[in-house]
Amino acid sequence: MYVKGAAVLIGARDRFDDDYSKHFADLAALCRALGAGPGAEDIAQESILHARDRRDQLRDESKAGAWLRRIAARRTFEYLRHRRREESAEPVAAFVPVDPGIAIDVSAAITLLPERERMAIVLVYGLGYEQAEAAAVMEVTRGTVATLLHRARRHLAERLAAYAPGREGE
Amino acid sequence: MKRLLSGHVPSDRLGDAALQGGPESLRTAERTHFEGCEQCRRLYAGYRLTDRLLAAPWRQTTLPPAAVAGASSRRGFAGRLGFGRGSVLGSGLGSRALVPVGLALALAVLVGFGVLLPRLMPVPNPAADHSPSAVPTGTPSAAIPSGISSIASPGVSRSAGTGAAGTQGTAGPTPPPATAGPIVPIGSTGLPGWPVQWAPDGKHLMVASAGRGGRTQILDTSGHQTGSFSADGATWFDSQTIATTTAGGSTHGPGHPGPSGGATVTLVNLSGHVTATLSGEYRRGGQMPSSAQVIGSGTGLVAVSSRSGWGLSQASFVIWNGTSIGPAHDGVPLTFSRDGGKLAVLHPISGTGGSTGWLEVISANGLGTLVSHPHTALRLPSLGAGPGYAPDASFSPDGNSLFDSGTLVDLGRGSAVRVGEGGWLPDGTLLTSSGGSILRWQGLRSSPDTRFPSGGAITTSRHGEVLEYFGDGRTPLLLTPAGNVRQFVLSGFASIQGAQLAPDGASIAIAGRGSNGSVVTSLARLR
Repeated sequence: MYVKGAAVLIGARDRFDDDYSKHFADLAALCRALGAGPGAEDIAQESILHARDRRDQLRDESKAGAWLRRIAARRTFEYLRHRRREESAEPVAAFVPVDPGIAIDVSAAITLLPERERMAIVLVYGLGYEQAEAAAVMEVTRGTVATLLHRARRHLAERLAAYAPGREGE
Repeated sequence: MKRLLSGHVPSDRLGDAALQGGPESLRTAERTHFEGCEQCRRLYAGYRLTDRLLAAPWRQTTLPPAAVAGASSRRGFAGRLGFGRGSVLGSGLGSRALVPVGLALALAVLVGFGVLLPRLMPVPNPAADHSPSAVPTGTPSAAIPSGISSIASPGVSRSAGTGAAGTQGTAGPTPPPATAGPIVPIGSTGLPGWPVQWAPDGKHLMVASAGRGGRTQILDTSGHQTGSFSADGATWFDSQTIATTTAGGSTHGPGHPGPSGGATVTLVNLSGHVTATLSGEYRRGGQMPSSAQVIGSGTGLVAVSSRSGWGLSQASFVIWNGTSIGPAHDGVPLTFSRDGGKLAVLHPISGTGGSTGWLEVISANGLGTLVSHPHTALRLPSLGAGPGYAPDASFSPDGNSLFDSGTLVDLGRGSAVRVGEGGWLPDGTLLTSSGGSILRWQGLRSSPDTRFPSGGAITTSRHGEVLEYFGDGRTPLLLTPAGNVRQFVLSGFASIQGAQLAPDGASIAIAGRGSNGSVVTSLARLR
């Protein structure tokens, strides 16, 4: 028996999946960069499903990407909060810049930044977000992101001064 | 002479100098102090190292616990996320946040139900069960892209399967081994630089040293040094020639510093000897730039960009063919197409601090606009990253798409999607990884490539080889152009941090950790 309402619903979900699935790789990368590790893809999918159930809350479709990212970021933080790691002697997975000509301890300096600065650095440098996009995920202004990036670079430079050759400037 | 107020050169001034013209750009009093102050020189070097680090490719990798001890001993990452109005996660909340906290708690409860309910009431997973009844009502399987349905499968995304190769999520039997040819260390000569840049024909590579002013080696595929030079930047002009740039005032360049302290651009042959020097003024406005960046086509052209001021706001470039230069063009050159006919250019977007630019593709011959997408926003290449650095950008084999710093752009429509690190296959497919599954991109649609386990990084050759390598000690996997997957056994490496296949797929440069923890950079033959 043909049920008109069901067909409309299926059609809506088709469109939703078609529109939103293109964000999947972006969301998975975001979750992974924020520390979700192997749970990133599951969180990304859960975020899309969560958004699908609440898509009527989105007033402006053009902002769907930013909305999804905020959902994914919040879900990642919840996941991390539940999975808070105990002190461990095991190696730690992290999303950092890797340059084989630079010691891994230097890359690890990213993880020692204050959280907000680290977050801004990861989003803008690690994931290539525009500052405005990073601001949307962090729920701050673009100017705040710019300030955080500026501070992060200074803090990194201060920390890495101990690693850099002393006569670099000559 | 004006004295420094704080006793040292201000940190921001050192940061500006690291990005712009080096210590030469400091004011006289600052420069005088800088010359005699170890602390300021170290901080300046810290800025240089920071910029180099931030320009490196980002990867999901494993860090030794000691390296992150400081981070783990602090409060949890999520627990201190107090940013944003109405953040549901902030713990350091002041009185102003009391109302948002109430709302946040209510939201958290709702979100918690959103998280818990699907777990308590498992949703059928179409990837785990392909029977029609497994598909959620109203969600036909065709409507769920493979990028979701397959990845969500516990067997793929949750390292459930330990492949016979010791890899996560490997489907199918253990790939047979393929042993690399002789592995020639190229980092034991005191020049363990990275990155390497392969010549377009794959017969030579240059290996830049990490420090400013260090020498760059030119090696053949046997690891024999054919020449060397010293420069601040270098790129392959063609398979026999390298274009170099040296900042004004430097004394270590292969050519002579230009007039008025301007940057010098030269061509050197495989022996490291200068064969041509770019003379004349190549900056719009008539003033020689103190530093420049070179992007080679590999077909006999080089784009020479110059900058002035913070954030590339006045960036322009010219194209040099070794004998004559074309007119100046605004923007920052990114990469040439494989045939050298097109050049991708980014135009810095004001108000973004020089971090992003909009995309234009021009004809390398007449500089005419072929494609213009003013609404795109791509990451501008770093010009302060030091020698050996090259923007991570490339055209697809057919020239219709652009891959730039992890973003794939459809040049026809101007639409873009973030895809992670990766490389092109000869048929125009882009293979990428951002720490999870390996994805195949055709156009802007992706699907997981189940031939590869998750968690690795990808390097590809123009010939069709693909190598997935891992930072955690797992054996790399090699996909041959015939479609066979092999374990690629590399003795002497405890883990691999970087790998780059030669364009012809016959050789590979690898950097990683040896069994004693030291950095090892080597060359290996694949055939």
